[in-house]
Amino acid sequence: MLNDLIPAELLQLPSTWLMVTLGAYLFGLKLYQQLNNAPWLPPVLSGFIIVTLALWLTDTPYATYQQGGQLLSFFLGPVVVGLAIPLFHHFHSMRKQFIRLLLAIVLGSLTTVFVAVALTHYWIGIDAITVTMASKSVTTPVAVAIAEQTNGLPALAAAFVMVTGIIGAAIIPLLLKWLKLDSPKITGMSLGICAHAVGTSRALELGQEYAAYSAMAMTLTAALHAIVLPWLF
Amino acid sequence: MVDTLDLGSSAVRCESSSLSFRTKIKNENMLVGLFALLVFLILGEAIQSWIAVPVPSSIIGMVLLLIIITLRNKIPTSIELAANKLAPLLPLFIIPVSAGLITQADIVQQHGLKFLIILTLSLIPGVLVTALVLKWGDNSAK
Repeated sequence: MLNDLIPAELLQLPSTWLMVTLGAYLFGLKLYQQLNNAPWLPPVLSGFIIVTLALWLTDTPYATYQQGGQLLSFFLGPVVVGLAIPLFHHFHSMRKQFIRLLLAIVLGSLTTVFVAVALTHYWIGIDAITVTMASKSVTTPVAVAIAEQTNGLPALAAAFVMVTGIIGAAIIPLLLKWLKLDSPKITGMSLGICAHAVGTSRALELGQEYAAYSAMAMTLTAALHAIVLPWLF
Repeated sequence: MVDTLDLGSSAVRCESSSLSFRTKIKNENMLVGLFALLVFLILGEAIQSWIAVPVPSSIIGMVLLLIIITLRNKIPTSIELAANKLAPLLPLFIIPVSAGLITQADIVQQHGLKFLIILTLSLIPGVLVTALVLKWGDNSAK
């Protein structure tokens, strides 16, 4: 429908889609700030909705869009390499209780992943989806890298991660409070292990100590899963 | 490679008081950092094809960088600068990948509700195991 108004050549240009993506992100960021950092509408979700709507309304194939979009998604690589820096900081600050924290990260994160993978396997039974489900608990750039590595579906991985993060950030603090297990260490670690970056921004709202545990758990979980999961699938 | 990293810290040392000059140095420094991140990314790529490990190349690059940083026990300013500039833009970098969901529309339509249920349910045992390990660890430490 929009196709009649917009010259077809414009929809083929990589810069058009670069502009659309940047605009969608900036709008999403503004909206997020207006809503006092509402965890259910992170800029990546509103940006995703706007871009997808634009593609759908103009009937543009994803491959055409990606000629512009890949200029941005390319940066996921350097960002993942840069995770070495927070990881180094966390190794330092958590040295004393490192073994116990590492154990919680290994057991906690693998539990949630194996439950999800088993449920998907028995309930949906499509291998590509099952493999993709395995990367649901790690921060998106790493999840996308894992999905590509294991022949999963990167876009679906990004969606799983986003949904996991939003649900986790909402229910984990409530669940732990209800079980009377709430503490900066336990809640922070759980948020980082199960709800990665979205959980960590929720932890930041709860307090600095929550956030420190959450950020460490998130980075370690991502590194661990990226190294372990591809061997299993 | 190590020389590349040192470029960054030496550039900081000759920092001048002029504001515009400092901004210029900072920008150059950030490019040095980005260059270093790319070097590690490509190294990861190379190692992945040499020894055929299934680990994503960016993660291999990250591990290599972590090893170098740990050995030097210091983070090169340029790399930290570049990483800190890139990290907040993460949502922007992710949007194009997630927009690929449009090619998987029928999967989402068919299984969307199941996905939601699986993602929610699987969180609970993960949180419980995490809490129990930390709780158990705390008690035995006392």
